[in-house]
Amino acid sequence: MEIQFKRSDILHYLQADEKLKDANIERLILESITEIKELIRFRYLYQKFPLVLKDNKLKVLGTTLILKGNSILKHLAGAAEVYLMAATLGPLIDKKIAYYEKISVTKSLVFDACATTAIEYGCDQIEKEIKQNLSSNSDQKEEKQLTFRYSPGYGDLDISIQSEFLQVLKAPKKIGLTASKYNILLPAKSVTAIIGVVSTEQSSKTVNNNQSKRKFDSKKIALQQFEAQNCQHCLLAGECDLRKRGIYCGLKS
Amino acid sequence: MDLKAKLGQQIIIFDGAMGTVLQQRGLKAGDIPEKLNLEEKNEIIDIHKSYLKAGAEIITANTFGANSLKLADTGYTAAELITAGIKNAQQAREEINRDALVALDLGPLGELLEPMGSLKFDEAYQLYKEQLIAGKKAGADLVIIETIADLYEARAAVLAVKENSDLPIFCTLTFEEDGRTFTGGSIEAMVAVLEGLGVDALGLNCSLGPTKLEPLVTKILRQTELPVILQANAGLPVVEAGQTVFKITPTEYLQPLLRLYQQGLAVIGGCCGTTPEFIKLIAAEMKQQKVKTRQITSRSIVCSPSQVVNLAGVNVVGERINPTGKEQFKQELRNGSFDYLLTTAAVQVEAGAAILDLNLGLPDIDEKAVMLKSILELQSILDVPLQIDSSQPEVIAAALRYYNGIAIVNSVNGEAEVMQAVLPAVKKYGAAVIGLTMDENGIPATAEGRFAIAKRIIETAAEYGIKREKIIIDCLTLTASAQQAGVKETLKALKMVKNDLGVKTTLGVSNVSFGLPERSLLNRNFLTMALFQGLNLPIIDPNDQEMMLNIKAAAVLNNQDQGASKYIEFMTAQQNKQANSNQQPAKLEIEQQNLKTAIIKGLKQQSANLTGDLLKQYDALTIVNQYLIPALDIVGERYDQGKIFLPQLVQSAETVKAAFTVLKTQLAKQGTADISKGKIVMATVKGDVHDIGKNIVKTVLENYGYQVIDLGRNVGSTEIVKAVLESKVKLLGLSALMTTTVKNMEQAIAAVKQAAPECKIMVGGAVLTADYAELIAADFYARDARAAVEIARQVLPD
Repeated sequence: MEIQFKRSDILHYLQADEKLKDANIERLILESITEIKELIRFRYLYQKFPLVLKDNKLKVLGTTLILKGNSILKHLAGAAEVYLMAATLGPLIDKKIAYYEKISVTKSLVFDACATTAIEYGCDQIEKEIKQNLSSNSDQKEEKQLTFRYSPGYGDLDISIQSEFLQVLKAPKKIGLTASKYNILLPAKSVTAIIGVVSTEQSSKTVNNNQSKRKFDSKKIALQQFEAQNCQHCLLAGECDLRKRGIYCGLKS
Repeated sequence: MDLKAKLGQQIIIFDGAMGTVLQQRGLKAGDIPEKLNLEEKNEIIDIHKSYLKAGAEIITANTFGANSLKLADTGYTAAELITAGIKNAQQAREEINRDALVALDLGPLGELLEPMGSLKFDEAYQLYKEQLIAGKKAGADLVIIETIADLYEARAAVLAVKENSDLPIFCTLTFEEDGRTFTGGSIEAMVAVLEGLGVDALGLNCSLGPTKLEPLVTKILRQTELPVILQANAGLPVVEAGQTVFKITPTEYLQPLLRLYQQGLAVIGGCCGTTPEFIKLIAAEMKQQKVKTRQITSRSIVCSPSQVVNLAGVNVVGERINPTGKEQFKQELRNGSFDYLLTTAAVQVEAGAAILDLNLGLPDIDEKAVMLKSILELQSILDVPLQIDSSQPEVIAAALRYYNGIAIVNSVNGEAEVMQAVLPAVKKYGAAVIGLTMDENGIPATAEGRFAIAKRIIETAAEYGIKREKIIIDCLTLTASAQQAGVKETLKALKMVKNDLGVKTTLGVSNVSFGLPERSLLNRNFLTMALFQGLNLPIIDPNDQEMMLNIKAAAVLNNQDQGASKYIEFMTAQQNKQANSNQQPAKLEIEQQNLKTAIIKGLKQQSANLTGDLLKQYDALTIVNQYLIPALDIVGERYDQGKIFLPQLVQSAETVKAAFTVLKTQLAKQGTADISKGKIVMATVKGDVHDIGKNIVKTVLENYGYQVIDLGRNVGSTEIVKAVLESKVKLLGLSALMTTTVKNMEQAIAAVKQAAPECKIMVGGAVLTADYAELIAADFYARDARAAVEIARQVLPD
């Protein structure tokens, strides 16, 4: 998969917008993109599992994984199946960020934002791939739709499932993605996520309302959707500067 | 089976997959397969039996992931699952083929080691040691370390086995199609490191099918005399109806193995997706066959996991990491900060150093501790191999233990005592070593005398089992002003050593010009002369561009840079750079005249220059108060108004830092008192590897005149307390980015409060709030860099 870098996303992760006019920063962005393309070892995995609800907990069948918490229950409401996905840019990116932290903090900041853009782009592509698989495999009778990506640590879904989540996918062995004992994903530029498969009828209750507006302001909707699911559980929600500016931090906890 | 007698002589057949088979029989994804050693004992024995029946001569006990880290919440200990695993395999052997051997299987631990992750090398070693001891006690016949992607982890495992048993060690890493591990490790580095540590056989397993691994195995076969192992997957898996399936047939699997057998492959088995059918076919074709002989090209290399330097060419060793005469560097080493060291290292690499010499000898520091931390820090950001420069044998031994790769030891000499103290560690860790042509009687005046010492060093090293390829001889540069005739003797000795002893050579170059004018002219000429005598590793300052150019020129004239292609490429790039820098618009130049404007625009070099100019008229403090601080205030204001954005704010802060560096250098020259407003220790807490936020705060604090002692990331309470006490700071800044590491922040605060109650603590980071800061007993909450400056002003008044 070829990773692309959307300028608007890079600016977003730099806590900036199109008004940013600075020749030097522009140069750093271009340099970073070139370097990231060289260093990137984008690897990913996903697998579909049946899901059952029992005693207010979601059991991912065929695995040891049990998903607990109100937020994930709400997110996967009506889903009979779930995709678990894991993706990483590989450790060379982390190393280069650490390198630039010693050489130039500005460069490390820009490089980090470009790398975040890359992993998010990669995840979007994986989601598209899953969507295609779903529509080509499903019987025509029932239209199915995917929920958005939901990661361990969002809402009240405990981040401590991280390691087990990775084991289920054999991610340490297959793509070199691990979690530390503090549940930090390593390599750091990585994502784990849960995507529910819901019938269109089900999803219309939650998503359709937004869909008509999506044409006009998809970013805003995404933010609202995210806030509804995540920021309300965030420790910082009350005093978050980014939120006031209409930016979501991208932090997974 | 007599393993030692058979290994490398006759093909040895391993078994196939365990995990895939267990999953087919209903093991849940995410579950611990080793539990079945006790819970479904008969099932495991059955699988072993089926492989023995198929013809496997070594069976792999079901102990791959049975380490204390992975078993933490399972209610089982590593020892009990390993004992059961070995016993199950032994029982199967008893029933089917008593001649077969049982291997203790050690897989990856499941967490990344430092510096990529947070698991310490010693922790990894202990985890493997615990497994090894249980396996040895249960009667394992050998150890197979497998599916490792990080060479550092493989080192920990090999050392744990080697230091605690006499069991034969087989070690296989897992590579991707491009010939790299997930962590960027190369085949050459793997071979060099494992061979250096003295494993009995090495090779590849997992990741891909045998066809895709064939070229990589071919590469290994050419590089090592050791028996080579391949245990490939049954091709790439595909998911069908939610199940992982392997599509390749045993016959297809066999074909590349037959080709590799012809090339000299010695040990064959299977990994994920292979079944007894695969092993049966392999055994039918190759069991009892003689291992084919092959050609090996022996080479002299040093390496990090991802970067290999072939010593046969000319490679520059950067000499700048040496605290002698560098006050700031000394100060930082005493405080436990590595900024100066890392920046110096990075600059040397950018300038073209292929290897970095690491000398940290200071009378009043713990050289060993500082050496180990420096190695870890350097390897966390750079790939160049290191040269461990110390006169303390215990520092050298420790450095070699923790260095990930093949390092150079600088140095031994002809004294028997010195060699006796240093060479065992060189051998144990597979390092390369520099031999100085001097001994207890000093430096021989003649080339012949030095040649004799070089010969003695090579012979003594051979007694320790150190091969000639690992030896680099330094014929010692003498000073032209004091021993003029000696300069030629050095060059003569160099040529003799090179031609007659067939080892690599090194020289510290700049000593030649000591005490004479225009030193660089003499250095350059001496360098060129030495290169023509066969110098491989000039130890120089790579920032000296003219020296670097001399090396490039000599490579052309010496017929080493074929077709002068590297030379031409470099010169073209230089011309292009020159052309680009001439295209700067003229308008900018006028604007740059003003330091404030330069800071606001984030023009680093210009602001450094302008600061230098201003210093001719004003004193440092005036420049700080009338130029730097006002410019920062403007930048801060614009940021608050949303006119500029975070990267620009940080860029301006770095620009001010560049100006400060100029001021500090000037003050140091004048011997005037420091303009520092006080010291602050900063660290990102244990477990946390996100460091950018803290670095921004640090830069801004430095802008306002505070001296920041930066301890880096993933810093434990003990180190933080130590730094606070040693530098007697009144303010400590801690950062944590994850909810899961805030606990460690709380612990660090408690530890500092107890050890240094007078030190105030400010905390910050994405997950913190004022309330939370109070809850964990911090004195201040710094929501951003500017807030941190306010706190510093309060705690450390002017």
